[in-house]
Amino acid sequence: MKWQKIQQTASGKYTRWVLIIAGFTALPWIITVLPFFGANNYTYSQLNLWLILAIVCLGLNLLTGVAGQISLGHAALFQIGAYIGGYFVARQGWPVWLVIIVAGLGTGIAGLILGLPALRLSGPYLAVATFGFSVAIPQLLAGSQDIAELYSDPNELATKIGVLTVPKQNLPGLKADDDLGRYFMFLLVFLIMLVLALNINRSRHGRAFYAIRDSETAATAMGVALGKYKLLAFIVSAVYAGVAGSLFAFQVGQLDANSTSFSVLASILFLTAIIIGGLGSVWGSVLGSAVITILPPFISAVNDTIKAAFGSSIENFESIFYGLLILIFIYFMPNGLSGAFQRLRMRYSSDPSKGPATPAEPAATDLPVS
Amino acid sequence: MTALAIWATTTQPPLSVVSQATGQPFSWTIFLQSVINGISFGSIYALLAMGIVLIYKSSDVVNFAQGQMAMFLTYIAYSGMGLILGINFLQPHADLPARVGWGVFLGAIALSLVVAALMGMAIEKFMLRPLARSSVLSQVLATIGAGTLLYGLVSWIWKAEIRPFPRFEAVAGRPVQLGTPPDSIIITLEAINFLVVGLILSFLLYLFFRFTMVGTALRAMAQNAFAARLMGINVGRLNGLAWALSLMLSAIAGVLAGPRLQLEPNMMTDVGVKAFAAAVLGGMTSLPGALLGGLVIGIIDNLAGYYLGNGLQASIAFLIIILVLVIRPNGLLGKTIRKKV
Amino acid sequence: MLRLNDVWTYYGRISALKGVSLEVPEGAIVALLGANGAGKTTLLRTISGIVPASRGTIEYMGKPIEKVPADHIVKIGISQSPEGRQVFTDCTVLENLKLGAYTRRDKAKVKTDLEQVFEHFPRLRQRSNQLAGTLSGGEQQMLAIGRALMSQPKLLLLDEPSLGLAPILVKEIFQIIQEINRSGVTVLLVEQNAYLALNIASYGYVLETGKVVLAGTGDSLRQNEEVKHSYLGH
Repeated sequence: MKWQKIQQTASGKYTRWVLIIAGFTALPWIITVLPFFGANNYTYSQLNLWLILAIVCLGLNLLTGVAGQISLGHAALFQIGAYIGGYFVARQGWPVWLVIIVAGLGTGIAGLILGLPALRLSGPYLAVATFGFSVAIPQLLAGSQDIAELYSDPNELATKIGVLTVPKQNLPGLKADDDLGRYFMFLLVFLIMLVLALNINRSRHGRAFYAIRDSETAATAMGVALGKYKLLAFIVSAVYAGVAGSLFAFQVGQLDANSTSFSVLASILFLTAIIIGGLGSVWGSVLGSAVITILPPFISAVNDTIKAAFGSSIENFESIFYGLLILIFIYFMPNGLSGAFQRLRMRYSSDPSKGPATPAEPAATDLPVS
Repeated sequence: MTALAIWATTTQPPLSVVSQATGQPFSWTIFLQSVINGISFGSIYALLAMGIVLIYKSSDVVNFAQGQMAMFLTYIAYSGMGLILGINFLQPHADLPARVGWGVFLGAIALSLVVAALMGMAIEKFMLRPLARSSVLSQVLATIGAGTLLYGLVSWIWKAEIRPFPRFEAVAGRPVQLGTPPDSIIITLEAINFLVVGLILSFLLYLFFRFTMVGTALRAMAQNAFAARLMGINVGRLNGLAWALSLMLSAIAGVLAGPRLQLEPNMMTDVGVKAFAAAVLGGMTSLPGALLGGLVIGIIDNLAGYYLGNGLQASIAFLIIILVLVIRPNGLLGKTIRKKV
Repeated sequence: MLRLNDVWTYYGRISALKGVSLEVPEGAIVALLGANGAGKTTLLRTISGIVPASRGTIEYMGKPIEKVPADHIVKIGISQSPEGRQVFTDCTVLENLKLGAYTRRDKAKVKTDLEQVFEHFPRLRQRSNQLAGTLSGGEQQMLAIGRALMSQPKLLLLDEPSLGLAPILVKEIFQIIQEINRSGVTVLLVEQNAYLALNIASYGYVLETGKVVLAGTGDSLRQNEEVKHSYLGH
């Protein structure tokens, strides 16, 4: 009987994954139903950027949502991944799949360095340390002659310092500009990272991460080796950012160390994505990054309407939009989209245990002072 | 344009005044000049840093938007000058005079201070009090969200163009020159003004916390909010007061630094980051620490800018901060943080 | 003077008080006994307006006060010396005492009250410019009580004043509590040391898991077998 049950759940899981993979495969065609997204390269490149962002958010959510450690330094990790990836493809000509792994591992080491202060710092102090990392890395990559010489092209004298040109990568046999083909290349990487994230969340390590978030003191009392797990969370999360960074290099073709894609604003954007999706939720990361990716054309459309109506568009309009979005989610949907879906599911399902295993933010039941 | 690039912002011009080519022989004059410039602009960092500390001490909230709020308040002061002079300040390329006198200057500061106080109390009451029991991350992101929103609103209302900010007549005179050229150190009256105002405000804050009942109550609340409530202290109102004071310091910093930084939505981004670093360096819970931290960051910033070039300037500042924190996790003058269980 | 009627208090979904009714007559010392976690501290916090009562009424001098915010409770004459002293450790002794009078505007009277407190606790006068954190446990307890007195209370709530103190100090503090009471302040005293509390109290209540299980005069409770067994250690 036990075997039967295992078989049943196994086949249920199997069906679920077939559906998920089928859905992701069909997505480039499904998405054309949305306004602003036609069957063209722009749409596909947006999809690719979404997968990249989603991978970063999967990792960041493990660190911030699950283990409760704030990081304002993820854009820098993302950048390190991008530059490692770009360097080995552009300068060393290594095979792409190997480069993705190397970028992930290399960034993992950077994550270890970023995580070291976390052993001694928490709260605002940690935020500042990771923030500093976010400020320092672009400067090191762009401003330091020695580092720039490492990756810049010796044959190209006129290259701007901090800029690394990377040949766009694609599946074997496909053209470099074929963004639809690249979608499937990225999808493969994304699915692997997704499965890993789901497994980490359910594993013993994942439970240790939750314990750290809920109370460091209690986690220590329960025998969680605090330092080890904090560092582990930083490393794993950095590997995700690194893998995503290398994909970013293959997608955009040219990396500029001073670009906002690597600035602290990008770190904030990553945090926004996981807040929208839902802290601690794997599928929330995927959803949240989808929202962040889909928004820009909508925002500029709204701004165009404003221009049509009032004669001029609003500069930095997206800041108003994102500012409001962050506030709305924090105040009205603190558990993000995944929390909202979960509530809907609880309401319409007779079996509440079927909900995704994604604990929401801990309820505030602590006493005023005790 | 990528999805990520939508945060596109113009990059901030570096703040260090001297930035000559390195490789020259070491000169004490240049070194001292860098230190003096650093101390002077460090006072601006210190004012914002003290604001961050005030808020953190009273309500355990880290305001990541201190820079943006200071930026907004500088626009308010600018608009106040426009109002007093009868110039349409909203119009792009509004021609405010290059220099303003006492009346206009003080009027603008007064307006900015009033707006700062009201804004501080409103933010505390409507934005942060509802989050009192949420996670640190929610609070941090709420302040980041508010900062982003302010940035967008300012860009909308005043347009994102760069505008010169009128200089205060009394400090626009000839700079003080020490020594004979070429070995002379030049100190502008404006630079002296930064430091003097910074020190006076710090001293006033010290008097306020040491000798007034409300100041003592604020200190008591920071130590033990529960016992403070038992004393009949209205904790919410005092948190509002702390926010108001904090933003008023930022408003003054904005007006002081306005002519140097020029008016644009990004004017305080870099200052805000440095101020934050200064607050943490000083220990996050100590006002003298924030003052010291601001001055130290100012000096490091200028020395690194001169000797290492602008490229690595901020990195060095942060590297030192991270080192200090790892060695002394509570900053230079901070006390051990009480762990809330 | 103070009358609680069917008061319920919750922390989240956990009920800490389950319908407590009791009365504190003017001029009396009333003792509130009970084991750890019985809800004594919660009861005092509810009266002080720190934790809201979700059901029931609290009447003080004939007026309902269960909806009155904490800062106003002090103004109408109820003050508390909390469990664990909770003095402001980084403020001086004098500053602590002045903070006790935070709600008062009658400067001259505050001065004479300060003298009064120093008379009750001469040791605080000697240490008035010392940081409260540097005081011994007993001195901190004196400071906490003195600080509570500075708001000129009509009703004084004392939470475990004997906790962690040497017997000789406990005796001293209890004598002072009686002095304070004789000067016209009504006292609601929460104690684990039931023997001492019932010695000076005219009336007592026993709280168990958020409910009043026994009530009576000090003497009758001292004779009660159950109280003897559970709280007096006989």
